[in-house]
Amino acid sequence: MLSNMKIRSRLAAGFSVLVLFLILIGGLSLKNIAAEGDLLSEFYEHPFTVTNAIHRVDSNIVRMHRDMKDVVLYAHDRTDVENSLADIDSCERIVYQQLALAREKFLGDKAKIDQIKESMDQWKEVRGRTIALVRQGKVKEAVDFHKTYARRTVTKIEAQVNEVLKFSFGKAESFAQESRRNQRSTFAITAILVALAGILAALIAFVITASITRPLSDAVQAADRLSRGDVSVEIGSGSADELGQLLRAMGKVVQSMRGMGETANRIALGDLDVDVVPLSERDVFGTAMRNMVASLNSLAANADRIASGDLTIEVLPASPRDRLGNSFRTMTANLRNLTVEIAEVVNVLAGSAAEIMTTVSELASSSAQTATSISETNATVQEIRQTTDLTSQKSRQVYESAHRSTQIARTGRESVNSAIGGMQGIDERMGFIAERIVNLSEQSQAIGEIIATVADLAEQSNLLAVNAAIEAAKAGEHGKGFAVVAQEVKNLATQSKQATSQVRNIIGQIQKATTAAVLATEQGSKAVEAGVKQSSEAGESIRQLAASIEESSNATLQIVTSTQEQAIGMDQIAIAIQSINQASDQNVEGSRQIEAAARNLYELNQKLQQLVSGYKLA
Amino acid sequence: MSRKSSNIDWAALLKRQEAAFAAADAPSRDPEREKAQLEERARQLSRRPEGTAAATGIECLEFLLSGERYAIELPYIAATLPLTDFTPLFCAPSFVLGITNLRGRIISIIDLRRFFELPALGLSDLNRVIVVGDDRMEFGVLADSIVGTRTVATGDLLPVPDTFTGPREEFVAGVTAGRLALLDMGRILGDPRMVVHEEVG
Repeated sequence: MLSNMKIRSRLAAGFSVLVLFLILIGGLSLKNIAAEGDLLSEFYEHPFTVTNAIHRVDSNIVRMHRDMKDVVLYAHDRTDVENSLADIDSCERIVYQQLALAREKFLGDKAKIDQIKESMDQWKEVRGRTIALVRQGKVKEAVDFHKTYARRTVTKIEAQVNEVLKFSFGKAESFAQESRRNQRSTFAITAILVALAGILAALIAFVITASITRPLSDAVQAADRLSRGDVSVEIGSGSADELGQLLRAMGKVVQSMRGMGETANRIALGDLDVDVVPLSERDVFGTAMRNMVASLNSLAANADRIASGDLTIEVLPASPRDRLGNSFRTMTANLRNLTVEIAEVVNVLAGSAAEIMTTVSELASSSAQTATSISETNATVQEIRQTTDLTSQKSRQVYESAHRSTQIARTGRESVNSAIGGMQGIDERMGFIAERIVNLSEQSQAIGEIIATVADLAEQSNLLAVNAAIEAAKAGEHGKGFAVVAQEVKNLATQSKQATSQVRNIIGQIQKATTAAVLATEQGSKAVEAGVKQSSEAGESIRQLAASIEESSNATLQIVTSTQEQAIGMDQIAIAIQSINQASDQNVEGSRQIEAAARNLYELNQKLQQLVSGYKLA
Repeated sequence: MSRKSSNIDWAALLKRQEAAFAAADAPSRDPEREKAQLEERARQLSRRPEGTAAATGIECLEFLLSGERYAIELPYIAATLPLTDFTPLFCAPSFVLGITNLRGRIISIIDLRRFFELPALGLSDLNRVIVVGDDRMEFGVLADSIVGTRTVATGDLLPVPDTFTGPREEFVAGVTAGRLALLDMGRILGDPRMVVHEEVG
């Protein structure tokens, strides 16, 4: 029933009940306060007015009594007396006034107030007599009189006043007790009522609050879970009030959020085929989602093109804050630059890899060669070791033979000296031969001169024959025989000339031969000189040889000792080469591995080149 | 060393030497060769009468001049002699080499090479002088060498070719097929240029 009421009416009903209670409590309290006020005013008007008035009366009476004493005591001072008298009069007026007031308000027997008034009248009489005595100058009598009567009267008045006061105080006491009773009852009633109102208010508040807060807390809980993104909340549409409406609206929100969530989930899983339909024109979320899907789709298309190697695309960001777009553009540009650089690097790498491969192959082969060389060296060292032993023996033999060589060198020197003597003899003979040959040459020169004469004669004979022929021709028929003779003479002259030229040729050859012979003897002489010189040098060499052979024999002794040391050193070298051999084997293995690695690198680089060539850059 | 020099066969050398001396002492005439020579000459002589009888030729003396063959008819020739000694003449034309003494007669020597304006060569020992003359004129012609007398058939003479220019064309009578130029000596001797008359003041 309550839950079907509107919250407004619910609140209105609760507050009305509370207000009614408040009015009830307020009315009761007002009534009690009014009764208390009445009591208080009665209390104030009666007993307290009376007591106050009586107190004033009492005090004035005391003052008047004191003044009267002054009058009696200072009777000689006229002014003083007069002043006191005036004071007595004023006090007397106040006394009467107060008495009248007390009488009016006195709740007890008013006759008692009248008795006080009578006593006051009596005292006035006494005072008048006393004052008269003073004025007459009969001070002594005045004092006696005062003493006798005045004191008695005043005491009587005092007693009366006290009686009145006593009554009044008793009255006040009874009033106060009544008032206290009254107050107590009022307090109890009001307290009960307030307690009742409090309980009621709490009840109402609890009921209303409960009816509001339960669905509200449900909504808050749902909103809280929603705010944390939990769209799995189930919201029941219980009541028909505003909260019910709110919950139903929230249910719709949850429904749409769940749909969006599913869509977002599909997008998050990469399914971009979702069709996002905005719920209304103002559906910011839906529109944004649709735009997001569209932009993601275009990015995905670009990414597909990039994936297929096309780096020529230019991605335009949707806004300056489009981080993904900007990143995508930067990524594409970087990818492009990167691919270009990679291509360059791959090219460089290709060259380097090829070079490395070549180098490694060379290294491998050289390592293998090294290994072979080392094993050869090892063998060689073994041989050298054996050779060293041989050397030791041989050098001993050499030392002995060096001794013999020194003696042989001595005999060699003697032989060389005798050879030099023989050669000098040959030189002299050579000079003799050369002289003879030159003589021969001179004689052939003489023959040449003779031949020149013969040639001249032949020439002249020839001319003579021509002249004879001319003469024969001039003689005509008779000269014919002479012409024949002339012809014969001419022929003879020609033959003579030919013979002379032959002789001249032969002489020329003889002269050439003699020149060659002279030159040959000269060369022979020079050769002999050189022979002498060489023999001397040979002698010197043999001497030096002998000296050096002696040195050699000494050195050979040293060699014998050092060869033994060498043998020890060769053993150490053999051990060292053994370890080098092992290291070289490891080296070969390592270079083989490096070669394999270099080949892998090369193949990798080939693949890389293929990959990079798959990218379209411009 | 001494062993090596003993390789020379001294005995053989001496034998060769003796053989050479023997050859020098022996008479150098070879009878068989002389006979063969004489027979050859006889054959040549026996052939000659046929050639001379067949053609009425011109008897002439052949000589060389600057490598070319020239011939002078024998009737004009007085003698031939070697150019032994000559005296150059000043103030004479360049073709006049000088004068020389021929058995007491003074004759001038003409250098035909200069006269024919051929490239001139220097003189040499082999130079010969052919003394030509007739009743008008006598002088010596310088020749490089003299070949000998020969007979040129009249029919063998051909007209002077175009290569012969200047004075040469004028004084050559004809040329044979063997490039033998026959000089027209009568014309040379009669030429006024040969007479040198010059006064030096």
